[in-house]
Amino acid sequence: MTDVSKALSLFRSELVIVNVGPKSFADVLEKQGYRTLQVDWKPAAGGDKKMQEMLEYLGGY
Amino acid sequence: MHCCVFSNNVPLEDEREMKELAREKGLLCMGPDCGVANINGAALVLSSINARGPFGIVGASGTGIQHVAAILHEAGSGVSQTIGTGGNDLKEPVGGITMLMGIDALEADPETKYIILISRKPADSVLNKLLERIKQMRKPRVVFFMGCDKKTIEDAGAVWAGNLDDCALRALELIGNDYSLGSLEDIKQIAKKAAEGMAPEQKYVRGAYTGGTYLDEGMRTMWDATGGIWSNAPLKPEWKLAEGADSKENTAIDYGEEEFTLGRPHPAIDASIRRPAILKEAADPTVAVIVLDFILTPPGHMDPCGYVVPDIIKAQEMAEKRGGKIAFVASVLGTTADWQDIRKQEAELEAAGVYVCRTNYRAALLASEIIKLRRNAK
Amino acid sequence: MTVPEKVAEANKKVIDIMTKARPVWVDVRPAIEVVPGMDKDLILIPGPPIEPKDLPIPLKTAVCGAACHDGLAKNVDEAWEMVLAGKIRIAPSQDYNCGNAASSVMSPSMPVFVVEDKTSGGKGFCVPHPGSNPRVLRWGIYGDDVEENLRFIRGDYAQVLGEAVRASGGIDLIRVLSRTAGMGDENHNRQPAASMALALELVPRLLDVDHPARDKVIKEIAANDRFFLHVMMAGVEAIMSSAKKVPYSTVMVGMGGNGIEFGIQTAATGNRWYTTKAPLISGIFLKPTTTEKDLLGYLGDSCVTEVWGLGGMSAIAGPAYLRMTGGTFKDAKERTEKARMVSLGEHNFAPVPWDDYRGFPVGVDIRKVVGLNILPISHGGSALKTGGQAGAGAAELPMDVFRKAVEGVYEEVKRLEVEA
Repeated sequence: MTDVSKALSLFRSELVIVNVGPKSFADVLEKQGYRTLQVDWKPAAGGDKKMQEMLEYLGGY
Repeated sequence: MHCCVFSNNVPLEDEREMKELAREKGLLCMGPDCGVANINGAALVLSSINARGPFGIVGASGTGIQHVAAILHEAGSGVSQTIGTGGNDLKEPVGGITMLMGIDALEADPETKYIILISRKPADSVLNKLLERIKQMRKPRVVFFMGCDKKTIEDAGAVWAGNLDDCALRALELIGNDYSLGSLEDIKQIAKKAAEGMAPEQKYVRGAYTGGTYLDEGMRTMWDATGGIWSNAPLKPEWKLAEGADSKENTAIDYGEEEFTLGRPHPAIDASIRRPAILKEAADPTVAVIVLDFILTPPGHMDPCGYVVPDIIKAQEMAEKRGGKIAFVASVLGTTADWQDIRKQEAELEAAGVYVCRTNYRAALLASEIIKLRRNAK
Repeated sequence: MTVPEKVAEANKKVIDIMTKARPVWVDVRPAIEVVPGMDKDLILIPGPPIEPKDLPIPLKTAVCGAACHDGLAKNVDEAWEMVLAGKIRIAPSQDYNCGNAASSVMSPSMPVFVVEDKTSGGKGFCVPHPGSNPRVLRWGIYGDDVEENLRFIRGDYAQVLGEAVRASGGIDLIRVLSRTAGMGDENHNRQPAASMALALELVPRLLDVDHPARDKVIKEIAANDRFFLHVMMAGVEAIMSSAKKVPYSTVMVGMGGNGIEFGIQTAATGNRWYTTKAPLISGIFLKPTTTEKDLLGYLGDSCVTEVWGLGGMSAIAGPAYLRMTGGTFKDAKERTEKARMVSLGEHNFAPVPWDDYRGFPVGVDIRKVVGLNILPISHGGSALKTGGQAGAGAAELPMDVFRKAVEGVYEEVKRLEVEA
């Protein structure tokens, strides 16, 4: 059995959602009455593997 | 912080690493590729808004979770928590880490009285591990692992379910609720009416689905009646439709596949991805039935059914000009609590002459019955 | 040293070139005398390379007009035949350390501002800004009146201005820009403060010139609130001529459009262009009857100022430009924040009081643009397909050119590594 105390405390506490990515997901959670924090994030190079490898070679970003 | 990761195409080794780290920290890692999770009543990612109730769900299929939860809602019950594991959790390299943690959490959660597990058939080693855990569960549980035989599940002390509809009904039985989705006889009656007035060459079904779970369920259900279905994600490799190719004979397309969604949102959010399918399929005079699914979710289109009604009416006019008619068969996944309101969505389709079925499975059954009648028609 | 270390070192070098630069305006001379590589049959045009037959109407008009102005052809029709036949050559200005704003072109006899970067030793060149008259070669219009003005600029104007600039011993553009701190300009599409500060240096010297056209020249310059732009473009080209000599660097050192294609250049690959379809400038139109359909794609090299941190990069310094083009103060702040996220340096000459006295971000790292998926926004004037200015606004730079640039620099660095 894994330790589920943190999951149980999640179920018992007020939900705060940190939304990482498209803001539309946070907007609809706000509209449902939940607290959200928006973090603007996009996948590296739009998720393009080839670009990521070239960027890595050039020292990242 | 617990995570719900919607992104897909994450390598399985990375998924395992993420989930091992989460387990070590005692945190839930829902996904990658988690489309549905309902925590403390919040409809995360592409969930429906569900009533709260005694059922906890852990599932590797987002549509599967949403489907069962929606029927529970419809029957007057609801869910405590629904935990999406992501589509790859029960594959060998990941080992079901999230499903096992989800079971542990729901077993310990006092609000959860019954537990429902949903997945495609897990990898053998993962299945054995899961069955061991299921055997030790204390709470009543219903298990739908697609393609798993009844005995295996029952030996683990769980109630076996044969499909998603069955899974919801078996769960409702646990609380003494004899909710019904209707009989096969009802469907046969509707099929008769639907098949009347078609032109002689109308013999085929076309499915335009917004996701893989419903496509799969649809194709399995319609397989025997149609004698095989072409698809971009076929049940058997020899039925694979070449990429970008037009539909032929009996065809069902998943518009959630990458060829349609690369760089775009899921068709449940961007309804325009599937929209062209209706007029395209209706232009083929051999088509008798068009099957559609609709999914309601807060980030989704605010009126997904109303959005396609003009195309459905236009398609019907095209068929009438050819001296036939098309049977549009649809199901709407969602609840009365969803902002789009399932009743309103269904009513819009019905007003346009669409045969609205209670579930995707029943829509496929209706399509099968119509095709059977058409194949036998002279 | 590892490749990442070499790249980091090269980038630091380029940022040093950009932030420690001391561009000084030293002279006004005919292009053929001072621009290295300039030739009597060569006309320099804005943006990346383009086949003559693909030139959009305004550039075609400007090229043919300049050819007539230089006596290369008797009339515009003959000029066009010669351009198509390759008897008059066209080439991207930035490959010659020159910039041509909007539909401007540079022919051999045209006078150019000569700006020298006293720190790195680079030299850059640009033709004078022709003033607020809408009928100018700069917007793809040519005719007798335009020719007359071009002759004035080549003659009296260049003589008087050149004498004043030489007598000044050189005008330090950093000193000019420093005086504009807190004066509300972004210095690409709005620069009255810098133009006035430049006039402070220039007018006393002009008054010392003994020439019958002196007063006319002073009137021209003093009445032109955009005068500074073309001087600064020459300054930026002076700086970039040095930055282009730094291998391994992933910093953007050039950009421009020819109406059809838009392109950028990086330090590591110098004058190699990475191009894509030119984006449209969105903002306001001068005439209410203009629609988006009338617009030509991104046109001109004036955005080299953006390469050096002005314009959209430092939008927060000139919020009034956003107001005029349909944006808000918040948009201005966001543009500069975006620029900061993809830039490696910051200028210290004109800190912005309402932005915590921060300097303009400078030196866009193409790796950051692609990696972070953040596109810098450039300010710019928009051109009509048929010639003339359509309006002004801003454009998000196209991701495609940055992706191509990453690929180009990656290949170049690989090649250097194999050689070593």
